Amino acid sequence: MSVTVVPAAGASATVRRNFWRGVWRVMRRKPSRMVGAAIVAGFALMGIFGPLLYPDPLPRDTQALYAPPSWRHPFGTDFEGTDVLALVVTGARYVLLTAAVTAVITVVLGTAIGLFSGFKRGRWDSVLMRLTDMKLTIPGLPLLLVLSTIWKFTGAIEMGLVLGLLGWGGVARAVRSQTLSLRERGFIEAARGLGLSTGHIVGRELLPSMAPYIAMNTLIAVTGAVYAQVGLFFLGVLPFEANNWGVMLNLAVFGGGALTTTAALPYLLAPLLAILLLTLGIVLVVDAMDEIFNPRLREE
Amino acid sequence: MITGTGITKTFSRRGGVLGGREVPALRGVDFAIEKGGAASFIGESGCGKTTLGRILAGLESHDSGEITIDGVPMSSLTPRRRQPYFRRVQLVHQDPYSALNPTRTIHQTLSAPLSLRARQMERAGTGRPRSWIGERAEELLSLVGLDPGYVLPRYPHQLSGGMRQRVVIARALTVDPEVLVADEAVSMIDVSLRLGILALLKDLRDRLGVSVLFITHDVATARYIGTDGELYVIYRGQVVERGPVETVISAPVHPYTQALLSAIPVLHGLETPGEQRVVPTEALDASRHDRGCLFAPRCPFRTARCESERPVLGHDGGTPQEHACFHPEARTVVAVPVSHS
Repeated sequence: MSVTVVPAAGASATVRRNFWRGVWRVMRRKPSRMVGAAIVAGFALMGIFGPLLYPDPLPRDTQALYAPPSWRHPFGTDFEGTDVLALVVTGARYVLLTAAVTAVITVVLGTAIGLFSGFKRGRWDSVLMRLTDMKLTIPGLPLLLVLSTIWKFTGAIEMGLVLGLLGWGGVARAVRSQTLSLRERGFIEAARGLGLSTGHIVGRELLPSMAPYIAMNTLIAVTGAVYAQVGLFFLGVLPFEANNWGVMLNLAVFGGGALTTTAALPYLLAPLLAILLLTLGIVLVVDAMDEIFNPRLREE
Repeated sequence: MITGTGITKTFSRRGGVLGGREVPALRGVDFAIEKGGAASFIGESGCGKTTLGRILAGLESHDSGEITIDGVPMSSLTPRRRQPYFRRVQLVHQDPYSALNPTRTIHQTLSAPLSLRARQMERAGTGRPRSWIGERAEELLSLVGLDPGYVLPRYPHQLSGGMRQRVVIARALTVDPEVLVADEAVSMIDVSLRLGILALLKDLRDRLGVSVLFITHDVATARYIGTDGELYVIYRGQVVERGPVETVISAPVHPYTQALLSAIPVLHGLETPGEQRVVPTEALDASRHDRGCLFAPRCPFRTARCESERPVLGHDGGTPQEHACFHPEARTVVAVPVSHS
C-alpha cells in the first residue's frame, strides 16, 4: 500500500488551495463568467477609487449645458455643465456601498434566523417564523416613503441598514426550509450520533451545503438594493445632496425633460447603462455559484 | 451488553380537523445484545425495526420501557449524561449516498469525530500527540479495507457505493463503539459488492469484538452475519419469534416467519421449494385491526381465539425458540437442494 501521510495541519491548507484552483476552473469554463467577474470587479474598483479620480466638487462648464456626447464628455454634460461620466463614476460609491451593506445584512440576518429556526424547531421556530411573516407582510416601498419623511438618508450605510432590515425575510424563509430538509439527511444524523457539537454541525456540515444558495442570494440582494435605492432617489423622495445614479435619473427626467427632448438623453442613459451593466455582471457570476460550491461540479 | 425491556414507541400524526392518528411503531419489545455478539431483526417495511435501531443509537426517544447499557438504566440519567452511552451504539445508515457530507473530504469527515475523541482522551489523562488523528484515520480506513492514500483527500462522490459504505463504517468506528447497528446496510449497494461489506462486518466482530445488530428484510444476509446470533422476527412492532438463527430458519413455528421464509425466491432446477410453504391470505395488513393477534387477518391458520386474544412471547408447546402464537407448529418452508438420485 502506498503510504501517504497527510499531516493534520497541512491538510486544510491543501483543501483550501484545491478550492481556489476549482474556482478558477469553474470560472474559465464559460467565457461569460469571466466577463461577469470582470464587470463586477470593475464596479467594485469604481466604487472604491472612482471618487479619488475627480476633484471635489466636480468642475462645471457653464458654456456647455446639456452638451451632446463628445470626446471630452463621452456621455455629454448635465444641466450645469458637469461631465456625466464623472457623475456616474463618483456616484457609484454611494450606490455600491449601500448595496453591499444591504446584501451583508440581508444574508447574515436571514441565514442566521433561518438556520436557528430550522435547526432548533419547536417554540423558537414558531416565534421566529411568525416574526418573519409579519416582516414579509410589511410593504417595503410605502414604509420607506414614511421613513424618508423623518430620516434623511444622507449616508450610504444608513440607507443600506434600512434596506437590509427590510429585506431579510425571504432569505430566512428559504434558508429555514433548506435546513429542515438537510437536517434529516444521513450525514447530519451521523454527526449527532457521533456526539459532535451543534456548532460543528451547523457551521461545518449544514452551512457549506447551503453556500451556493447563500452566495446567490447575496448577489441578488445587491441588485435588489440598487433598484430600491435608485428607485427612491428617482421618485425624488430623498434629497439630492448625495451624488447618486437615482438623483441623475430624476434630474434627467423631471429637470431635463429627457422623455420629451433628446438633449438630456445621454444624461438619462448613462446611469441606466451603469445599472444594466452591473446587473448583467452579477447575473453572469451567479451562474457559476452552484459549480463553485459543489465539489462534484467543481471538477474537470 | 445492551438490553431493552418493554420498549414502546407510538408516532402520532397530526390529522388536522379530523383528529390525529396514532401509529404504534413498537409494542413492548424486549431484546439483549451480548458484547461481541450478533442479533438480527427481520421484518417487512414499516414493522418498526428501523425505529428500534434509531432508538438504540439515541436518535429517537422511546415512550416507555427501559434500555440498559452496561448495567446502567438510561432512564436514571439526564439526557446529557445519556449521550456518552448512546455514542457507544453507532448507526450505519442504509444509504451511503446521503450518509456522507458531499461538501467534505473523507479526511475532514473522519477527523471531526477523531479530534473530539482526542479531546476526550486528553481529559481522561491519556493524551495523544497531534499526529494521532491522522494516523488513526489511516488505520481505520485500512481496517475497513480501503487505501488511505487514495481515499483521504477525496470527496464522497469520487468513491463507489461500496467504498462509501466502508467509509461510513470507518467513521462509526472513530468513537470506538461497542455496537454497530447496520440498518439495511447493504440494500443500496451493488449486489456484487454486498458480500464484501457483510464479510467486513463479520470480520469487525471477530477482530474488534464489536457487536453487530443487523436490521434487514433479507433472511439470507441476516443468516450470514449472525450464524451464532439471535434472530428476532418483528411484525407490526411486536417480536413474534425469537431464537438462535439456525433454529428459527430451519424450523420456524410462527406463521409470519414461515410466510417470510416462504417468500425467498427459489433457484428452480437446483432447489425445490419447502413442502409446507405459507402464503398470507391477504397481501396487505389491515392496520386498523388492533385486537387479538396482529397477524390474524393474514394468517391462514387463524382460529376464533386468535381474533380476540393477543399471544405473548414464550416457549408454549415446548419449542426451542420463543414465539407469539397460539398454534405453534414447525413447518418446513425453506427450499432444499434437488437430490440427484
